[in-house]
Amino acid sequence: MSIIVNLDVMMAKRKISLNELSEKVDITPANLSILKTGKAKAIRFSTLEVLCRELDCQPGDILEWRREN
Amino acid sequence: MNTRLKIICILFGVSYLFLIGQVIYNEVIPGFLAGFKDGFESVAKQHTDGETNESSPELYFFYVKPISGRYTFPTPLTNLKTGGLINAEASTFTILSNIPVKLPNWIAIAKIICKLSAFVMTFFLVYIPILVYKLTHSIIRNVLFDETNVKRIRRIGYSILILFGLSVFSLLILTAEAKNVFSLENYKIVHSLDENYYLLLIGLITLLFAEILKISHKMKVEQDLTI
Repeated sequence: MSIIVNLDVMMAKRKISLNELSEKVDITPANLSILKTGKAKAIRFSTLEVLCRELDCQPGDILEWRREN
Repeated sequence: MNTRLKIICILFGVSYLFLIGQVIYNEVIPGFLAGFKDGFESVAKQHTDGETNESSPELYFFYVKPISGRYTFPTPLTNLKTGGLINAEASTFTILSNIPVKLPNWIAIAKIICKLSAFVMTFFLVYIPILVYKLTHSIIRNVLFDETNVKRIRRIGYSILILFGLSVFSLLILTAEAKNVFSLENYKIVHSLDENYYLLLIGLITLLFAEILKISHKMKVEQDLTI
């Protein structure tokens, strides 16, 4: 997929672990892991909102579009 | 899980197995026993009389239509209740006859293929209930939207369509053979697919259901992967 999820980059920048973030945003670590590894098919606005709030960033910091080869 | 779906699934499984059981009990077993008895008696007769060149009787099945048109009732029958004559009309005939007939080569070859296709049909008649059982069992265990179930339903659909194709082929050959052997008074031998259309419809509906389930499965996967 040409949409890249940079959640791991943002988590590293904010020095926050997956379990910590999952507790703060109330999403299971399994689901966050699916999102982090790019296996997710879609993301809800509500999920994006809580992630941006907790990571103090913009949606564009988490999601990125790259042209497919 | 939806209780209604579970009940329908169980009813479907039971009625399907009942249908197969009924066919085996009413047609396959009596047919086999009659054939066995007939063959046994024929061999015993040959052994006693010392004759070996007597041709064994052939069973013919074909659809007929009155020459004067449908619903003209050209066959008089005696009603034993009243002793009077009643008019009747047949739509099929099953005839046991040992008329020695030289069939055209293509019918003789097609008959051999028909006899071989009986094995293929038997395989599918066993394979379909197994698939139905596995599918029913899977649904009862709450697994409906599954790639395996889609494949199972698709296989059921294709198997039913193959059965349809083989039945139609057999019927065409049987009718062609009957046309070569018989010429009946008041009736003409016709090609008809009658009951076989149900197989075609059931097969296509099953395939349609498989495709719907496939789309549903895809939607479920997407739903599950929406965070």
